[in-house]
Amino acid sequence: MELHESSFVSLLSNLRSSTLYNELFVAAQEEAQKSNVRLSDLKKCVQSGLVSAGWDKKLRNAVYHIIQSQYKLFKSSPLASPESEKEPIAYILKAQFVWEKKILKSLNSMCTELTVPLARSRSEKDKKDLAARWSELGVDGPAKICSSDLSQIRPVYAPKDFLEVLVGLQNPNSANTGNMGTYDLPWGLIQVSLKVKTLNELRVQYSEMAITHCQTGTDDLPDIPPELFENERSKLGKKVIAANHAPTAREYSKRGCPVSMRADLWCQILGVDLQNVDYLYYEQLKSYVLQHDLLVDSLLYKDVKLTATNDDQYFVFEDFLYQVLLPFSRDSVVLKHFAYNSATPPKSYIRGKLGIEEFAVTYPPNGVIPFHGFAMYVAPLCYLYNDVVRLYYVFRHMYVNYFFRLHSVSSHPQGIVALSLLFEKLLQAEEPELFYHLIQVGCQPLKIAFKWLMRAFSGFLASDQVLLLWDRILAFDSMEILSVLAVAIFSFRKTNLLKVQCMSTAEAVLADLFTLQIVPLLQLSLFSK
Amino acid sequence: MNEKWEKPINCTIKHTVTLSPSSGRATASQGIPFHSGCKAIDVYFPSVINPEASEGGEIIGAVEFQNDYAAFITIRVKTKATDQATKPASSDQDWKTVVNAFKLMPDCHAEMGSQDTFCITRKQFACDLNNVISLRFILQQPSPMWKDFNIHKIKLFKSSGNRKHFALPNWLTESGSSKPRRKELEPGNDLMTKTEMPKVVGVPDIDILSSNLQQMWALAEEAAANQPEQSIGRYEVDGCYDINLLAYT
Repeated sequence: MELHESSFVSLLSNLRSSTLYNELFVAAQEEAQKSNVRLSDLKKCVQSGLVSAGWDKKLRNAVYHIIQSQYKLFKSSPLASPESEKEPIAYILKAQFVWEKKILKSLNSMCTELTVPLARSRSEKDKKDLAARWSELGVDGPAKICSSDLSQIRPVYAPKDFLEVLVGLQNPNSANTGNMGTYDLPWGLIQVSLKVKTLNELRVQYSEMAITHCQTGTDDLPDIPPELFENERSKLGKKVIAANHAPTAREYSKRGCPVSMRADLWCQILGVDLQNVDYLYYEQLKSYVLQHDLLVDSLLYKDVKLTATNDDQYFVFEDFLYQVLLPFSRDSVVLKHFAYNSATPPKSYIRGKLGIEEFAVTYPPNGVIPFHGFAMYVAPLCYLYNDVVRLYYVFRHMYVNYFFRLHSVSSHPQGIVALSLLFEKLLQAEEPELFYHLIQVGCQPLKIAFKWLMRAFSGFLASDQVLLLWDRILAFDSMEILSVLAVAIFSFRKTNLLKVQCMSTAEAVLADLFTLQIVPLLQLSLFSK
Repeated sequence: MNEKWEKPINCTIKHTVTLSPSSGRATASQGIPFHSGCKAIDVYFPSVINPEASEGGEIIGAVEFQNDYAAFITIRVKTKATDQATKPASSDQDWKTVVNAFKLMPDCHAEMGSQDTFCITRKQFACDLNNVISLRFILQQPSPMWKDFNIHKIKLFKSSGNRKHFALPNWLTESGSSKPRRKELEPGNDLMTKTEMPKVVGVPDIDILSSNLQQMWALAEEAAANQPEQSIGRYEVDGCYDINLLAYT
């Protein structure tokens, strides 16, 4: 009860500081001034007036989203220090800290090598020039770095480097028996013992995806008569969108979103409801991009060039990506997510003011240093939204709710460590023969699957399949589906994988996943045995 | 949260004792150490009577500690029978189980809960903790995965009977019409009216002035409390964001 009360109080204070509070207040005042309202039943009239004007829906959604965000901040104990709220396990926190330091060093050394500062203000001419080129930044990049310079810019880290960190995680309190396959010396790469779900638990969690339930994306293909499933499904979808209620949208999306409705459903689930102030805020971020030239811009630019521009599905969205990624790096609202992220935003001081706390700033302003493939978190979303601002806010919500967990060391059940472990354990349990064979030929399965997990499969699957997969992440509010899919892919290519004799052939077998249909694959691996 | 239990109770916390079947004798004879998976920590209170009792009825209200891979915790206390105790049959000193096998780690083989800070409060106690002479923590860890287990930073707190409740708004706790918010200001107002102020010509009535000011102050406070969280997203200092290198601290 005590807990409920405290969360209730913070829910109220959250609501009170939202713009919705003021809007409701004004609406209630207007309601009260109507001529047909009698003083005796003022309260009743105002309430029913608000409901009929649709304010109850907005309030319900707001409460739902606040509770969702509080759930992320949920503490094991009210006495826990803020540090242990980010990550309760000391050695994991330390590993994240060491990793961050390594990233900082590599960024600093890149600065020194190239003799460029991390940030500087742009000249008036550059500002004007950049503003004029805003919608076609792909042509010569945000900073107009000469080509020789850009070739020296390299991604700060890639999935492979990050995997090494995770593999190196070792509990100092783990009793060493030296027996392969026991808890302290597992067959897989991840040495941390976290509780991960078993296949049966996952079956229950993803019961909506069972083979007996028709799914959007498989049962509504053009060759299937629409009266079997598609007609009903889209009728229901229209109702759901009209209802504008986040939990309902979430429930509906569990069986996949129809292409035409996905954009709206995702907005409802994530609570993206754009007001004028949001457009203004985006413009503000854009002006920040024009004001300062950051090294991170070049990193993002390079990343887009290396990933999305090379991808025949996404190269058309190159300019879109800059318009999302550059403002994202300036968005200090993103900093809030570090309250529940094990990572800490990098810190720096204004030039010449080293060590003076009043001049301490986070760098980049959003605290997120991009890695090789970061742009791919945005790329699939470009298919959904043609309005850059809407695209921006959806991406920001996706990032602070889900994607940040894919590149920070954490013991969180949704974190990349737990997802990797889930993948290894599921594969061991479901395909023991395959796992054993791959290990025998010196090919740890996680070494192949890790990049899929870290990028949430973006860029590895066909874009429509990525969106169908992300439907499930949003609908079930969990990223465990990523591990399940990775296992499903291994099972699906089992016959070929059992024949490989080295790592490179195994990689070749799993290199091209663009033909895969993820929904039947997931169903096969979750429910067929 | 800490202000609820202001200061920890003064007590002596002994070292953790690992229990083994051959208690007392050396266990090294076998060569292989035997893990009983059970440890005990004793806590003694300097005053043998009611610990820290000043105004009667003060008792241990909460136990706080940081876990270090213990899976379960049991708390037992030895109490001194009070004068009013009417049962002569039971010995004057008796062990009572206050908390029985409280789960600290949901899965003893997995990390979750292994390093969390816990606070066990009166609600979880089986009985009230008064007249306590000594207290014993019994830790259990059935999993062979961990080298060692213990708990650290043990603190015992008095329960201060009337604990502060969270400030729930009036309209939720009271069914009737809510009173004006400026309730807290009333004592101040009373003070002003009671002290006789000499009237000065040309200066408006002090009472009216002050009550108006109070009202303004209350409004300002309310406005400050309801500050929207929408940030304008400034990240630079005085318009400057020129940075050379990152700081390592």
